[in-house]
Amino acid sequence: MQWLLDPFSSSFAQRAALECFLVALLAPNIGVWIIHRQLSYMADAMSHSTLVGVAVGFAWLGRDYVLVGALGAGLFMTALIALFGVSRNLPRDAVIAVIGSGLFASGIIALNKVDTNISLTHFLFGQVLTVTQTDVQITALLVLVVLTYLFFNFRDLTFATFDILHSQQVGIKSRRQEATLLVLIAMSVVVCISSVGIVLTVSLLIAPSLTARLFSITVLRQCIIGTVISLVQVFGGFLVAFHLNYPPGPTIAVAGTVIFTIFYTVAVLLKDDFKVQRHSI
Amino acid sequence: MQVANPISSPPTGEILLSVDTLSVFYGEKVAVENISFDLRQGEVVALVGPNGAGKSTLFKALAGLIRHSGDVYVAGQHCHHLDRKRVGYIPQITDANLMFPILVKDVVLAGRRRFGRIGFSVSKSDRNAVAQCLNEVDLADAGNTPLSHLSGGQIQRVFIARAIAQEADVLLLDEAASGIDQKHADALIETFRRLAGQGRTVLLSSHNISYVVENFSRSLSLNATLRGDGDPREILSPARITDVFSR
Repeated sequence: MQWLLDPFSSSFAQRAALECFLVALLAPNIGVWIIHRQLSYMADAMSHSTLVGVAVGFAWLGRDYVLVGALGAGLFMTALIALFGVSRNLPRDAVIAVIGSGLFASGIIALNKVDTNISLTHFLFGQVLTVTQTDVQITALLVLVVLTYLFFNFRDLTFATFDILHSQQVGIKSRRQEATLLVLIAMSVVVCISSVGIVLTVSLLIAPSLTARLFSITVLRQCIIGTVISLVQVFGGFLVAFHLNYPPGPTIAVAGTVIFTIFYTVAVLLKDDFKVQRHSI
Repeated sequence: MQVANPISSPPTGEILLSVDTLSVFYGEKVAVENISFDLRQGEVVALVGPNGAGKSTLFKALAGLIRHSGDVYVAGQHCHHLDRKRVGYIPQITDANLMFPILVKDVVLAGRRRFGRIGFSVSKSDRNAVAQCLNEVDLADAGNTPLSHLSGGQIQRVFIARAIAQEADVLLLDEAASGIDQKHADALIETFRRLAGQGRTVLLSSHNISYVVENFSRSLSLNATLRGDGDPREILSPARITDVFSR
């Protein structure tokens, strides 16, 4: 028991735990839509693009508002994708690659120019133990906004993700919904940055939801199982990092991959119908 | 060719779908042009044409999913392209995201969205409507089955149930009979007969001429323009088939 509680004895660790809890609550619930709409690469590129916002936010607003800058960069990236991605002649993933890498590189340049005592690796791989009260407040607000939207639009998201043409026919504004979803992904990326950093954010968004997919026949069940897995991943990774003196962000990301590998193996060994499920993933 | 028991078309039913000089252009390219025809209540009609003839485009235009010129009337009422909820478009199976984890009853529930936003918990009336629609396509026990566990023919019936849940009077089935075996194709024909008997109108696209000749008493032939309208044994006869399949 002491092994479990020791890491959370200090006030900064308690703040980190609250941040981890909020992240674990949010990530799989937005992650299922990222997976089923095939937006994983988009989410990855968006997380990288936020670096420029982190640098600008730090320079203009100070340490407490880097997440605000990151959010601005994420939304800017969304707007650029919407602007350039409409051309039928250009593959969308290629457009995302060009814009994402450009913004990421701009972020590295900007960080080099900003007078800060925080290293680049701090942003790239996260440092959950240094989250501030403002970080937690911003995270809580973003999590509330995203989860509220997902709850009240759960059916419409389900219908449109399954069959976008039919959803348009029955009155769902699917384009508006897609644009909103991209904004929510930008918010979620910002939430994850504080715990696992820019580079590893996508592991939090994708890994728990993908693992949950192995055992889910509905998207609701995938959300619920994903949330449980996400909590185990985040707090398990946090505890291991504390006791073995590993960096928390990468340890949490590795935990996600380990959990996925274990459950995938279990699914192959135990489930008779897994071949059917595997083909449908 | 012997026609064993084609789906008959009642000549006296009211006109349910009327299409007047409908055209769709993709930029400069003509997809379908100057299409006009009427479908009566209870009719089951095949739309025949080669790949790329514009069958899916015509269906999407009729369902209000893409912009078009010309006019479409449903039950005598002129319909703006955004208001075609009484026209149920049933896409090719592969157009839906079959990797998505969803139960059969939730697919059918999507049809009820036409009448307003559906909350997290489903109302009793919507639940009853879904059960009734599944019953109509002989899938009463499949509500809690994951869609991915069904065969291609069964999935088509689920989509038909969704269109019924939408209370669509006109059903547009895009290549519903392709890729399914004879048994399921026969079952599909039976489903059409039942829908026609309930006063619904069905327009089904196909590039399988023998399937249409054997099972339908009216067909439209399309290759960018409407090439024929009538008994498939006549308009798809060897003498006229070249005209349909050449552009």
